Amino acid sequence: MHIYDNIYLGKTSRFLRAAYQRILRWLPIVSIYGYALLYMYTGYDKLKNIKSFIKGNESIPFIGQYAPLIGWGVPIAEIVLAILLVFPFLKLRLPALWASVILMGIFTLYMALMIKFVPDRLCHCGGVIESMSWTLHLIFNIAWLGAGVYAIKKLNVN
Amino acid sequence: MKTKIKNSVMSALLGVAVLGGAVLMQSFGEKTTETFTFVRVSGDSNSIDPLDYEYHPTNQCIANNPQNNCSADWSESSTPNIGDNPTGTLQPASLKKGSRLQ
Repeated sequence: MHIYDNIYLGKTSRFLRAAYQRILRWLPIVSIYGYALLYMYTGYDKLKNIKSFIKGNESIPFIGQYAPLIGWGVPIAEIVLAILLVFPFLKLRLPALWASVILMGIFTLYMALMIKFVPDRLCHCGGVIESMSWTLHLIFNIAWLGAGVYAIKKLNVN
Repeated sequence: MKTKIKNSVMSALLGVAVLGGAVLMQSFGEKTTETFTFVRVSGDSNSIDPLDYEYHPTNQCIANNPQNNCSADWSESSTPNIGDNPTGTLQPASLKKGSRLQ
């Protein structure tokens, strides 16, 4: 290997390391505002279509009997969490982030179970999210879950 | 102290912008086309009864069961909400084969 190649590789690796560190530095704050955007978007969409959301929940095995409770509870919880995540005065950002990640975990578990066990699936996920394929939706959720866990870890350290 | 308050205010303003953006995205992101695919949720495999169909943008048909149709296109005068039955006209030859949703 020529000496110039080493210099070039050194520059590239320094650039990549700097980019990686920059991403890690901004990831917690991007995750927090990303969760807020996502939950406000899907929560508002579900509230706008509340009748069909409740009706759709009625057809989900095991939880269908709680459809009205879930139908109102999920979008309200999403909107409340979105608000708590973005307002720094309330000192509730970390608990709200915990709750957001747990809620995302529940959604992800639901999706994984549906993909594994239910051949004919139904998703009332709201807006453009509902137009994703199930596999893409699962990857999307897992990515958010990972980002949320990382953000909690960093906020706990700070 | 001043910096802390300033940061908090900036953070809150950014928060308001994010939440407002989410609401605007939802409001302006709705479809405006006139033909929509509705998924069959009940009835016979060749049903053309609007009450057997609901609007679900995922169009999650499993198109490997030739015994059943699973969806059909309907012309709508306004954008349906998720779960709505069709109120418009069935598009000819738009029935899709496959398992229907439960």
